[in-house]
Amino acid sequence: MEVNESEIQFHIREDCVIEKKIDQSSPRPMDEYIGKSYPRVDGYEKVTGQAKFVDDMNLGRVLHARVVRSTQAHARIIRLDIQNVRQLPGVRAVITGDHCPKRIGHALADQYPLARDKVRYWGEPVAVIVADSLNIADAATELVNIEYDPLPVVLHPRQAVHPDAPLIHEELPNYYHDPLIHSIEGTNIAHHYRLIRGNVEKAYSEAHLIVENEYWVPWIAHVQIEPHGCVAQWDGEMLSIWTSSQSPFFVRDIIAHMLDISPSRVRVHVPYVGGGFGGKSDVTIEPLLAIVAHAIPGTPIQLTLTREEMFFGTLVGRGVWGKVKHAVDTQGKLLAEEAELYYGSGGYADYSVWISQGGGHNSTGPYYIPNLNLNSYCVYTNTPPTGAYRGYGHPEVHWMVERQMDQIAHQLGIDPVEFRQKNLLGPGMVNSLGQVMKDYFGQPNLCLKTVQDTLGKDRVPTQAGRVRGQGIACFMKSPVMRSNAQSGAILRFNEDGSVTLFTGAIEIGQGVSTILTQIAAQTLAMPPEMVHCSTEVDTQYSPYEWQTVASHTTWAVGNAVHLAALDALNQIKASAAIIFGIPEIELETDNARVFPRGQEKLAISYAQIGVGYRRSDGTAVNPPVVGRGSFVPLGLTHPDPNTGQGNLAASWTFGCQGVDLEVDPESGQISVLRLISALDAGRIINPETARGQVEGAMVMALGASLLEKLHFDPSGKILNDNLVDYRIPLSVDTPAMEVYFLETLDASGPYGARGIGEHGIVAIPPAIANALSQALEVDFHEIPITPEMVLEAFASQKKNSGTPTPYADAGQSGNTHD
Amino acid sequence: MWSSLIKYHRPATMNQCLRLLSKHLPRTVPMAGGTWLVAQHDPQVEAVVDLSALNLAFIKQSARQIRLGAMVTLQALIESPSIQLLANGLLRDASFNDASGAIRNVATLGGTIAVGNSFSEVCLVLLALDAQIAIRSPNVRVIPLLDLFTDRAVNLPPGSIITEIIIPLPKTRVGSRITKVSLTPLSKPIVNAVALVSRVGHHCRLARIALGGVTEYPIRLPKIEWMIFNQKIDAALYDRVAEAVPGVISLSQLTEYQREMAGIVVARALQAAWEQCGKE
Repeated sequence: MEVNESEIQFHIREDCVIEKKIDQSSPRPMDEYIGKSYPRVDGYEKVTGQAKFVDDMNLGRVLHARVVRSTQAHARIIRLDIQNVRQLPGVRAVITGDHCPKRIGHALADQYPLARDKVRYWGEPVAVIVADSLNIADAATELVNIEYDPLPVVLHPRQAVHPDAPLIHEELPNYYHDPLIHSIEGTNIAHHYRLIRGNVEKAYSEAHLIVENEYWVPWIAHVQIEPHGCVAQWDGEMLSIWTSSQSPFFVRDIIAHMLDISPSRVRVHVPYVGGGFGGKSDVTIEPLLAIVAHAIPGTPIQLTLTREEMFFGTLVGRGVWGKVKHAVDTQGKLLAEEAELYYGSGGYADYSVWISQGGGHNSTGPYYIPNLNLNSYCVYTNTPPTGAYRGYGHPEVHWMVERQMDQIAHQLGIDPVEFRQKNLLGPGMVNSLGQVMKDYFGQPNLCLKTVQDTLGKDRVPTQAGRVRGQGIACFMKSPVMRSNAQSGAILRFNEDGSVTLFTGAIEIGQGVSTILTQIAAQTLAMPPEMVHCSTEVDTQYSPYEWQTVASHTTWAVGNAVHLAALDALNQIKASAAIIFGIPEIELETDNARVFPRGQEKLAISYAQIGVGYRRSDGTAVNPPVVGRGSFVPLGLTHPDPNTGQGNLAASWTFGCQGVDLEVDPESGQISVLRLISALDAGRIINPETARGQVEGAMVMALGASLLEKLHFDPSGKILNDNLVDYRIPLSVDTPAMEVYFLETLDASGPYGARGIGEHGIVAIPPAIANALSQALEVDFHEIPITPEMVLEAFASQKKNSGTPTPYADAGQSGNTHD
Repeated sequence: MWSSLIKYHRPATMNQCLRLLSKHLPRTVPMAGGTWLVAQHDPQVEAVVDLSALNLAFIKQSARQIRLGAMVTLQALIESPSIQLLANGLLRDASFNDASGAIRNVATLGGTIAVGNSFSEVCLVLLALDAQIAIRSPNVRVIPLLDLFTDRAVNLPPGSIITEIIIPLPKTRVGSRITKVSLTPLSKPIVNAVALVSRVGHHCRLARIALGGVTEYPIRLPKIEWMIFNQKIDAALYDRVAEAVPGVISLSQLTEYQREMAGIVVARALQAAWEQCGKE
């Protein structure tokens, strides 16, 4: 829908519009190194086992740490007795909450690194034992005696916001918090974000149809293959930390603040990281190690979490309960949306307040809805803290909205695809935040059509006795990021003309080193083999980087690398201009050489200029080349305090996902046959890497849709904290997958590119539920959808309708047995 | 880290092995492949007796039976020609489904039986094949596998080990099938079943049904077997079986879904086994 700018309530300030176009000039044809599936630069090291992760660090003699964790989900600590531990030979120290008098947190400082007085989730760190060996540290954990006074446990956001709910943080009003955080005194609400537009009440009164439902997305685990690991060493002046983190500068900042020392005295090293998915973007075990290292100077102290601890000792994802209500007119146009979203933060909310905000303003999905009243609450629960999880607020609200879209279409008697087409956002239209969609944000309608067409072809026959269903769900995704999220890059030339590229981006397996290498190579007109991307980030020497999160690295760090490469290229040309005695504009570059236009035989290699050209008489021409580039998205704002709108997102990516599945109506077992994604994420720098990202995300979404859920007993203990009982999809569970990229060039991205790491996870769950709805005429409002749920829903549907519809309606509804 | 473990033994003779296992202190348990035991991190266990030097990794076939040493790995079963031919490869398939490749290379048949996971397809198949097991304490006893699962404390007391599994070869051509309901093809079954049948004309002459996932250990369903025996097999019988199964299994701690699925998997296993029997 085209809208008159004067009709919208929020007006983008002209000086804030993100129109800063990056110079996309390239000395080479665009397809030289961009858009090519260049082999991963980290591939050889990883497949040969040479890649080093934190646990591989050889720092000589180390001491070993083990965490003593709470065995209560909500309780006061009456007594903490560590006398027996101290007497065990080989134990070097026992650190408790008494050593940590300061609460930490960026947005909301609500947590002591080690519990003091009270525990708020099962598994919360209460003490850290440092010993000569892991065996001794393990044995010592058994000797700590803790006496608790149990308190009532809150395990669901719905329970947390009940007026009689026990308070999990009595001192919430006294905590330091970012001015944008709105906690509510006397409740468990750590943050309330509200977005309003238009007149919802009026729209409901005039609506042809109102559809309202409740939804639930449970807590899930990230299950990175590499567990969290950290080594810390304090030498009296400098605290050195080696950690498996997506955010070394964030770690540095939090720890410096915690210890009251300058960030320059905290040095964070991050080698390869074996999977992040957001779970390593926040600070978890690093403060524990910093405290013990500070207490025992000299020797490095190491902690690697066990697989079981990974389920409760770091962060979990999702945990959102929502009530969503839509109004539509007779033409199938969306008129209004009201949403109440309750994000279960777990025992501490510092890392989930922004998720609840991002989910709040994204809860319209990729649709134009003129009247909005969206309320998103971040509420404390007695579960492990919730943090970033691939998708960051988007998958949970798309689960709700995209299920709503199908149910509305069904009740209107309109095809779900047609209904979506009527309401999709597009260029010139205004999203919930009041931002006008740029033409380079992509073509959502074309993504939808691509998936629809793909679902319609290459269908494999349906097995006998099974019922077939196909479902579609659209999505939009923005990087939910700090308004001044900075990125930097430095390019240094080597003697052979190759360059070493330094950034603060973390290689978490997503392929960022390869992408940045290709961008640098393209800009410098040199083969990618001559670009050496440093894969270890060291806060002492690496350029500053906000965090490797939000699918923004290709875009933000890519821009910084592109600018650094341009800076280096300018220096190369400046030297060459002196050497050749011609203006820079008359120079050409190719294959790591520079020469006067059309005179390639006169070419000078970068090797001759990169570290400082010397004439035949020995005189130098210019110093060595060091390219610098830095990037920050301009024009981002905080939300308006009255409307919640604002320039909160720097870019948008649209897409659509489809699912083809069959169901065994006797057992309820679901067999997903095909997963399809079509995304318009700008220029694809490396198609193979991008496809890997989308496919990996789709498989992760498949797990969330059908398998994954943390089960708690009534006391708050996780019952399935292992990979037998917490099942993730394996290769054998992976269906056929198809990924389509529409490449509308982004005016603000390097060579027109945007990020793509999270997008494939966003809309698969509703697409699966929509396919099941088509197959069985049953509606699901929570995930994961188990065979038992399918059978129950089917039985209930049969009971209500009186007929076994899947077989009876198969021909009519298109669920034919092929 | 298994911090309580202080002793590791690898005896070369059965007598040494039994003597070590008879010790009360340190608390000592037998270790076959170790895949289950090591993962338990049981703080009560202070010493293990590794059975790998006892020459129990054999597969021997005679005209009437197959004898399997308790230390035969699941992978060895998969690769054995004798096992591939036994009941249409039923035990081979079960061994493949029970564990991933890395585990199969280490996990043993005896260990799998000793653990006796309710949903272990290997255990289900052995039950359906009327397998017997040899148990060594100071004495040697041969008992039906079913007896082990019926009263484990009596039949496999501390200090004793399983040494051998004896599988009588079916006397007639059989049809067989494993079926299950699970979240994914390789995930732990919610319920699973094995059917093994033979036929004369349209009538069933041999019927053995084993069911997993509904009790602590796998079970046989003799009432269902009698219901099938000597009956004409048709679609109506499958329906009757599906309806009858929930009534003959223990109902405690079972969800409605598990009860219903128990009937479904048994009926499906029976149908598939019957159809296979008819084709060959």
